[in-house]
Amino acid sequence: MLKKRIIAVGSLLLSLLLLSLGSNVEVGQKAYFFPNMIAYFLIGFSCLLLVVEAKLFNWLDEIKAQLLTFMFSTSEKTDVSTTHKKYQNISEYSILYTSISRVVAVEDKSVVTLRRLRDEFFSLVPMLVVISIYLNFAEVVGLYSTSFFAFLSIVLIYTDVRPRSNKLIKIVTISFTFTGSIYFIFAVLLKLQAPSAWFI
Amino acid sequence: MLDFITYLPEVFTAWNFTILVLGTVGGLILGATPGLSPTMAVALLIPFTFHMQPATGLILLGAAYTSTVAGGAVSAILLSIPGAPANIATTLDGHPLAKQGKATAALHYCFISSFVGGVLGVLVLIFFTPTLSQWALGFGPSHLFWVAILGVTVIGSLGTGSVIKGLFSGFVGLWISTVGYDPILGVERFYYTEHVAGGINIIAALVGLFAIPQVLSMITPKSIADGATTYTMEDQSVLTSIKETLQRWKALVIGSITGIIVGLIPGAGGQIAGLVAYDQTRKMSANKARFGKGEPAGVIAAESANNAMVGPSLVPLLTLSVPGSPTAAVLLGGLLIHGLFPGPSLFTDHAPIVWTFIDSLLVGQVLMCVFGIAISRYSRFVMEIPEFYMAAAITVLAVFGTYSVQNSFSDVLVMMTLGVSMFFASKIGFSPSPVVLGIILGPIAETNFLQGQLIGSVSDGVFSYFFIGPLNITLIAIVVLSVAYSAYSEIKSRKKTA
Repeated sequence: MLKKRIIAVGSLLLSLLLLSLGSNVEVGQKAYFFPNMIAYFLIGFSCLLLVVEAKLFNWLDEIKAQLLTFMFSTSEKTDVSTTHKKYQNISEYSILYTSISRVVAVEDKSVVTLRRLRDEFFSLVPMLVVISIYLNFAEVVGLYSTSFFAFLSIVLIYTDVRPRSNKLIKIVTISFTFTGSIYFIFAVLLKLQAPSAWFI
Repeated sequence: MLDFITYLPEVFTAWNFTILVLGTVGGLILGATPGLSPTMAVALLIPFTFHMQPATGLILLGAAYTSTVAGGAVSAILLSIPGAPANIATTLDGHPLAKQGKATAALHYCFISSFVGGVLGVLVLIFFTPTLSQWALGFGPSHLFWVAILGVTVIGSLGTGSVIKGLFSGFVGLWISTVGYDPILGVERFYYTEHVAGGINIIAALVGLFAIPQVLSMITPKSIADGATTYTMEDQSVLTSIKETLQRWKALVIGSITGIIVGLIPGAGGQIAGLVAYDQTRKMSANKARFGKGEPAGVIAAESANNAMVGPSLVPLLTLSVPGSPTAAVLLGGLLIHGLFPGPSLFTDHAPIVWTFIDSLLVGQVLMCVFGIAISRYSRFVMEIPEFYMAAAITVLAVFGTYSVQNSFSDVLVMMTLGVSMFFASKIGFSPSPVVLGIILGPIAETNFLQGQLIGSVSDGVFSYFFIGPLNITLIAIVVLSVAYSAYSEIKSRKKTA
């Protein structure tokens, strides 16, 4: 549920941002009518996400209950006693235990998903660094040279290879052959005009 | 019909035929590689077609579309990993067949039934498209606006897990398409960086949204390959396989008809065709218990359906700009970059190009079957390529493919930004297909909306121009019904899982 709520709030914030981008303009306001209309639809869909998927009303109730507990420290007691009256035969502790464990289980699921996302993100960091270096240096160093190093770096980072091993030679050869094929297709066959740089 | 025969020799010119063969073989290999979907394969190939004649470029895209769908069955059968979403149903019986030592037979069934389904699908395309395009001649700006909205909502609501998220993604795509010049007033909008001057390039968006998330998911830790085993290929003659396939004609007929019907429904896609056909064949079979344990009829139904879907999915695309599947949506981008706007004029102004393309789809089915059977013996080697090599190769190809369109590095930056953003968005349940369709159909929707606004303001009023009239009401009803049906199905499936 936590994940769904973050997504719904994020969608609403994005929609509001898009609307504000098209609203605060000085020149050619008429040209922004269509994008703003779409932004209003996006706000509508975000509100639906909030109500349907993020269970907005339950969320508000939870916030209200937490606020009451925080301010008066009474609401929890009332809830438990009401439940206790309803189910006289079941002990108060077992009800409390069941309800707490349910909440923890639901929250745990969201926490696990968020942790998995975090782990995936960290495994992507080297790839994202290689891509940003590749794109920043391609126009300076050379499109084909940086492509060779980008290919080589990605393969080397994500494979277990020891220095001076045969596998390393194989990877370098494959990277060179691949970049050579790219050069043949784009530079020789398609006559692509590469940006002028230090190398090719 | 006459046009279809008139332009058939165009497919057999040396250059066009070479491209068709290369597209088919390349598509089979790409399809067999787990993680490379037909949509991504077509998106990656679009930049290459930019340097070709329109007909040749479309032949390449059509061949890739047809053969990647069929090629996806190879990894589904040998590894139990569907090469494409369309091959999900193939794994159910294909992999058990491979486990029983009948991998070659399963692959033969797959390519033979794909051929039969594919040919029937293209015949539907040939007969239906000109009729529908004549009917579309009467469309004005308001109708075209609603058709564009229909395309976005249908893909948004049918092609994703959550209707609201699908619609949200589609409308984000529409918003992205408004970056750049206003089509009527010529005012430049959302010009915060020089990289988006002139708007977002369709190809940059296509490649970024489909290829980069796939690349990033290839290198994230996952467990799908754990315990995956490839199987040795037994000897089986093609004639025996043809005989065994034809003996299960019921599965072939059910699969082909289901595929054709699903293909004609905008937004449905191959995975729905395969699963529905599989389910129907199982229900109508006398040996229900054998399904899921290696029943050839299961493979035949699923594969004939997902290839029969290819031709009909292009019918609404070529006549109304509404794609029948996510890959057809990408193909729409391929048409637009060659200056071909789907609709009634396509079959009059660009008849040679369109008919050559349709003919090539038919010839492509034959080549797909022949090459598919020929390379099935060696196909397991393709699947042994490590994913990090694929990730590195696709990254470099995506950069070159995008750069080559306008010799612009800004496009590459836009492509990468959209791709990385889409990767994270896909992790929280958003799909790239509606975004892409929004970007492609956005200019059509906006131009027709503004034109309709001008016409409406000097006639009966803007509201009546867009909301009154039988065709407007029909199109609005289809939009509402498709969204309502998807919402109903989603609620039903959620209740089931709860």
